[in-house]
Amino acid sequence: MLRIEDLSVSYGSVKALDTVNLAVSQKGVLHGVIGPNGAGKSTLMDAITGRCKPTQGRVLMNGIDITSRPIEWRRRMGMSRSFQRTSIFPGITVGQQLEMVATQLGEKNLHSILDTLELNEIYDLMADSIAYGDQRRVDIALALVGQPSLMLLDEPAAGLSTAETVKLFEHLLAVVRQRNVTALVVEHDVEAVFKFCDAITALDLGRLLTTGTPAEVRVHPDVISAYLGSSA
Amino acid sequence: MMKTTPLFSALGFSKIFLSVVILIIVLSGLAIPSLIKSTFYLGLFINAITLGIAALSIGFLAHQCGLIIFGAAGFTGGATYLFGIAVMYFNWDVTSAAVFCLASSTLISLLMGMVMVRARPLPFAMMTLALAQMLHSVVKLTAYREVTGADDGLTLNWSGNFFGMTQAELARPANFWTVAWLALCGVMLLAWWVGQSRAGEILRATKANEERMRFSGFNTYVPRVLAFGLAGFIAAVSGLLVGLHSAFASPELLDFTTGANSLVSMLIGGATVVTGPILGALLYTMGQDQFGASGHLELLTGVGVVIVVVAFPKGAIGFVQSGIKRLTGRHHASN
Amino acid sequence: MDLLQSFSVIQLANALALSSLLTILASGLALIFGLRDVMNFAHGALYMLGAYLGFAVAARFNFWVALAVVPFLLAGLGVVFEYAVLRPLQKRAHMDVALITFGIALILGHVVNTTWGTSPLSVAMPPALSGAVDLFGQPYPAYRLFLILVGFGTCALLAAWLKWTKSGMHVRAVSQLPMVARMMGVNTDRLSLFVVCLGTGFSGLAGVLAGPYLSVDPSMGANILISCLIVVVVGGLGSIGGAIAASVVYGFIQVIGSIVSPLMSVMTPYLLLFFVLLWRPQGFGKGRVA
Repeated sequence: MLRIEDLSVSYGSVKALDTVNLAVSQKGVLHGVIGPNGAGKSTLMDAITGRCKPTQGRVLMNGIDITSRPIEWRRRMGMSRSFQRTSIFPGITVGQQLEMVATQLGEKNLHSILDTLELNEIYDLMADSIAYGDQRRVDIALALVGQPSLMLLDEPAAGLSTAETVKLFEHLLAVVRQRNVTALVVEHDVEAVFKFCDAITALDLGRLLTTGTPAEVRVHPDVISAYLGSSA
Repeated sequence: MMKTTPLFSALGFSKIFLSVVILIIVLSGLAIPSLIKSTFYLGLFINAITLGIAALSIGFLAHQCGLIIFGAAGFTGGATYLFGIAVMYFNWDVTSAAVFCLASSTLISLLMGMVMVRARPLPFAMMTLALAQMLHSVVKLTAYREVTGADDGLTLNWSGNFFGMTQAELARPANFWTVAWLALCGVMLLAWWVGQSRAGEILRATKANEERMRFSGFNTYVPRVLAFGLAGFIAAVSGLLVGLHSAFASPELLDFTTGANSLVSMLIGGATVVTGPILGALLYTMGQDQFGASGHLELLTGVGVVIVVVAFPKGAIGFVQSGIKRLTGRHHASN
Repeated sequence: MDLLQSFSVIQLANALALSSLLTILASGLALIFGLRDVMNFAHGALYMLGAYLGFAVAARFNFWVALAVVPFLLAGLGVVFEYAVLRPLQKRAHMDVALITFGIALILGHVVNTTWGTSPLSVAMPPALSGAVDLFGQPYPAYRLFLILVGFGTCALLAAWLKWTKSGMHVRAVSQLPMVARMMGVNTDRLSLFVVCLGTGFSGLAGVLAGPYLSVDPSMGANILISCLIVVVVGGLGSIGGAIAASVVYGFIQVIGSIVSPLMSVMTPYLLLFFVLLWRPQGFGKGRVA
């Protein structure tokens, strides 16, 4: 579904990403991306979503090269994403936001999204007045509208407590399984990633260390040294 | 202002109630000349109206799109000149010239918008300033004296009636008030209506997070071009009023400071609600009356900008609104 | 052949004279932007203030005293600017700070109007420079040559300072990677103050120099601001070299354009600005403070 070939992103002489290869081919999986600070996780996300242009390499979705394509292309190919900051539209309720996007994308199954993410209680509340943890769930809900096949989540649990992070990942897993959508999640909380994800990609200093199941990644020597070497 | 508070919608007959209130306000306004006999004050309020409409144009675009027009003078003054050229150079009658002025200004705004709305706010502001200055220089070129009057400006003479009034009648504040007041009500209603429509929601959501809107399937470009066109139209109304009332188009209309006046009025009054820029313009015009005589106008303007931006980013009305929010503990949907 | 030569040399000199003023101003604006990330809309007003102060000091003493004193007066104003405006508002959005500099421009404009009135004033040319010099067989005003020398000379010094001195290197480092520079012990606060004062001082210098060359009137601030913005943007925000190059190009367009097509000379700078802002926002220069 998503394939990243030899992706490199350089800013002057600094290489944020160096020849990264990644393939996500299954539907309904939760795929985590981890790495210490400066590993290039956000840059990877930005290159996939189109926020930054790679200096080398390609991003392919369903076999089609979308590297330089505008956002509208990516969306039509089934990509969606969450946003870390300014995620919620100000001044309207949660329900109004979801309905606005649902109408635009022709989403007929909004209530199932609401159920899966347990948003029914806060449906009529003002989006900027709800708790932070709830805002993150609304963020994900907005990314789910329109039946995407691939969701990109950049640190969805940022700023959440350990308990809240676990809860969020439980929701994510439910979403992924029930709606058969693949989620690529950049996350700092390594424990949560290892606990919930079906596959994990580890980066360090812009390079790919390994991709595999949690069990495989956990014992990979490069991963261990990267995490022990730095104080992540 | 006409905020759609939860309370009102709950009442159900909000729309009829609202329409009646608006109608009463509009009609009462027409009676002002019979209440205020002073030509001076009527003239002052007319100035406040034209300034307010220009400020509204800036405020509309700022609130809906997050883009601030530094060089509003280009739009308002440009419209005045278009009217003037139509009347003096093409020799059209006043109504055709007025239509031409509004139509061409809006069209030009749309075309400029196609190019400019993609810019970030600061480059956008610079471009609007540059545009005003460019028009200022072009208009003063002696090569175009025949068309624009160059340095001396263009004295206007036209035939025909506008709203049933001759040129001489339009020049009198007591008569012109009707035109100005109705124009004000018209643009305010227009700006308010667009603001609280779905288009307005989309615009403000795009202002908050454009990338998200695009990922949610919205076209973020076309609505903003249209918003820019509307802002240009509103500004053109202001310029047209100036042309009709003063019958003169001068390069001063395209000045740096002229654009600054409307910008300051918008900042003082705030852009969140439609009445904000109008109130700001009124305050500014009154201040001009108080301080203008002693020559401190620019000081007032400059100090006003600094104080308002530093202390009241939402302007006077925004400040009041936040105060109300804090008192009532309620969240209003801003439009 | 003689006519052609006089045409090109005189015009060349005129273009350079115009450019030299812009160069000084644009370098200052580029420095302030490069280091403080602030688009200083008050830059034109500062220049105007410098010109009027130059007029006042020259009337009391003479031109040379004005040339020596006024830039320092403006640099002093720069201290106020940095401490009263830029530091407290560091965390505010760029548009807010830009609006505030816009307001300051209006305030300064008022100060000038109330102090000196609104009619244009003329500054007496210093006697030493009021003659003509032989330029390739044609007489050419000595003052303009002086202007060219001072203008480009100042920028050459600035470029040399940036390139070869320690503090100059610090300025470049801070403008490119502020965090890193700070970690390496560069006193960014003191450097910022210095650069802002340099920028405002330059405006003062340009203002004094402009006095005998152009007329001193209340609209000179607004007029030069736009030209300055255009030059800085086209040259590449923060790039001194770019600003210099763009000023020269601008000067040429103005002078040659006014002969060939007044409309083009008026419109070309704006078209350039639009083009750059929309399609090549980094300008044509080599990047920040380079």
